[in-house]
Amino acid sequence: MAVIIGAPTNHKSETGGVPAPAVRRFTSWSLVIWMGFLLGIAVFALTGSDLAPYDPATQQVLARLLPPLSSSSRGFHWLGTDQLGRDLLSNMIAGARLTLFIGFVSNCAGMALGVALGMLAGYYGGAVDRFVMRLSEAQTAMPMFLVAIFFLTVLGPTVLNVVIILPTLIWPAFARLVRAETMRLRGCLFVEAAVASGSTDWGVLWVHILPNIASRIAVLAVIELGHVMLAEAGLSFLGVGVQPPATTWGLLIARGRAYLAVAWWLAIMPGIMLGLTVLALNMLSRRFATLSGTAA
Amino acid sequence: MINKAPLLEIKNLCTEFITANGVLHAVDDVTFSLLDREALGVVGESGSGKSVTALSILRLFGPLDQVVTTGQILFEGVNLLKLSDAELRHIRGRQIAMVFQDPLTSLNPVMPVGEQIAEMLRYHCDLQRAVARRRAQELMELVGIGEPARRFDDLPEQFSGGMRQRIMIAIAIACEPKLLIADEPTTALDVTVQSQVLMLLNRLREQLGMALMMISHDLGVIAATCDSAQVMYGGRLVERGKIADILHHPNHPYTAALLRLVPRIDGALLRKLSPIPGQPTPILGSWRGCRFAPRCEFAHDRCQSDDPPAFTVGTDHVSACWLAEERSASMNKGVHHEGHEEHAPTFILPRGTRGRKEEGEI
Repeated sequence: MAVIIGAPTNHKSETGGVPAPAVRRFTSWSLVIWMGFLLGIAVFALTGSDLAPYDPATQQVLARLLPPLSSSSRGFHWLGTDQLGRDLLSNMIAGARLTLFIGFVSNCAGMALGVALGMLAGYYGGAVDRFVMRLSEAQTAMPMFLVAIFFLTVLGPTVLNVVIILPTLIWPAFARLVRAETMRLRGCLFVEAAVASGSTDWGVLWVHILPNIASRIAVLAVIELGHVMLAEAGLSFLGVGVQPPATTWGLLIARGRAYLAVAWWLAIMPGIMLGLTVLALNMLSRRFATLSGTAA
Repeated sequence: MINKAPLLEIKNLCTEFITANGVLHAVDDVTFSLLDREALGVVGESGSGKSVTALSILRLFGPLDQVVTTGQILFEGVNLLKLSDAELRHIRGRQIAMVFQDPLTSLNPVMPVGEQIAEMLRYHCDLQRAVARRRAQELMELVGIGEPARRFDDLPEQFSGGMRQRIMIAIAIACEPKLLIADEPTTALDVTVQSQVLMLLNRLREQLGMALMMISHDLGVIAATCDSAQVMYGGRLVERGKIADILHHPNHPYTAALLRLVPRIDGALLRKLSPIPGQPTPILGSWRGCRFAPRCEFAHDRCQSDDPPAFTVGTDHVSACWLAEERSASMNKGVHHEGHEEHAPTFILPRGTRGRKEEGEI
C-alpha cells in the first residue's frame, strides 16, 4: 500500500533498509478510509435512490418515528424512520445527490470567478488590482450569509438561485490566493521569457501561470467544497434553500429539528453525515497540500 | 562586413523609469547599429543600462513599470517603438529572440522542456503538434542534448544549469530569428559550462546566420563571441569599436580601467588588480558633464561641465571622452597617435584569433 513517491532511493540505505518516518507516502490507512468514504458518497450521489433500500418518498403511517436498527412491516430500517414513516437512510441517499451537486457546481463557479479575477488582478495590477481587491474586501466586510438569505427570500428559494448565490460567498478566498501567486510568478524569469518570445497575455496566464498554481487552487477548492456544503445546509435549514420535495442533508436536518426531543436521529444522522463529509474533504486537502509541497 | 542597411539601428534611445524618487535615466541618448550577422558585445557594470537597452528593444517592461522611451529603434527599417503590442508580438521570438541570464528560473517548472520548445514552434511557425515535436527534438539535438526523444518529456528540474541554458537557446532559435539578444547568458553558469555555451552560440550563429547582441560584464565572454564591442557607463555609450581595438587600444578611461580589472594568467604573481575608485554614477535625476568624471583619473574641468560627444578615434572606433577630441582632430589631420596603450590579457583574444578546436568539445 505504501507507494513511495519522491523518496530518494539513498534515503533507504541511510536508514538500513527501513524507510525513515519522514518519507512521504502517497497513501496512509486513514487516507484510504477517508477517500473510500468520499468515493461512496459520490457513488450514492451519482446513482441516487437506485441504491436506496426503499423509495424515499413512500410514507408508512404505522411505522412512524422508528429508531435506528428497527423493523417495520416493510423490513429493516438501518437509520429509523421519520414522522411520516419514510426510511431515513433512503432519504439521506437521495439527498446526497442534490447536496453534492449544489456544493460541486457552486464551488466550481466560485473557483472560476475567484481564479479569473485573482489572475487579472495579480497580472495587470494597478486599477484592475485595486478594483478586485476592494470588491473582495467589500465581500469580506459584509455578512454575506445574511445577504444570501435576503437574496433568496426576495428572488425565491430555488436550486438555481442557491447555485448563483453560493459562489459569491467563496470567491474572495480563491481571488486572494491566486492574486498573490500570480504576482509572484509575474516576476519570474520564465514568464518574462515567455513574453520575450511573443506570448500573448492570455497565453502567459493560461499556459504558464495557471499550471503553476493549479495545485494550490486544488487544495483550496477541496476545503471550500466543505464550506459550500455547510452553507447550503445552513440556507436549507433556515428554509430559504432547497425546498421539498427535493431533499438535501441540510433540509433533512431542518425537518428533524422539530422532533429532536422525541426522535434525535432525524437531525443527528444527516448532521453526522455532513460533518464526516466535510472532515473527509479537509483530510484530503491536507494530504494534497503535503504532496504538492504547498501549505494551504 | 556586408555592405547594406543595418539590421538594427538605434538612434538617440532614452529609456526613463518614472519612480517615486524621481526620474531614473536608465538609458541616456544611446545611438548604435548592428549589421546583419554581426556579433556585438555590450559591456558595462551593473546599472550601466546594458540590459535596459535590450529590454527597450523588445519593450519587455512590467505592466506597472512607468517607462518613457524616446528615440528610434529601427529593426529592418521599422521603428519598433511605434508598433502596437500586437504587432510587436510578431517580432518577439520570430524576428528577435532573447536568452536570459538565469537558466534555473527562465523555464516553466511544470512544463516538459520539449513541450516548451514545441509551444514556440506551434505558436510562431504554425506547425502541427507532431511536426513541432519532431522539430523540437531536432533543436534539442542541435544544442547538444543527447537522446532528445527520451528527454523531451522531462521537466526542467531534471536538467543541470548548462543543459537548461541549452534548452533556452533552443527555444530562442526555434523560429530562426534574425537577431538573438543574449543577456548575460553565461553569468549563472560555472566556467567550463560557460565556454561550452559560448562555443554553442558561436556555432549556431554561423549555422543560422543570426546577428547576436551579447550583453555581459565579462570582457572575456565578449571577446570569445563578438566582432565588435561597445562599452556603456551610467546609461551612456562611452566607447565602441572592433573587438581588437577595444581590447588592445582602448581609448576611453573607463574601458581602460575595466581592462585593468581583468585578472591575467600571465601577469606578475603579486600584481594587484586596481579597482575603479568610487561608486557608479547615480542615474536618478539630472546630471551635467561626463558620467564617469567623478571616478576618472584624467578628469579635468571641462568633464565636469560639458557632456562629451562621441569622437571618432579610428576606423569604426568612437569614444565619448574629451581626451579623445584631440586625437580625433589629429586623426583627421592624418597623424597617427596612440592613447592609453593597454595590453589585453592573452586569454582574451578576439574571435578568429583563437584556435577553433574547442568546437569539438560541444
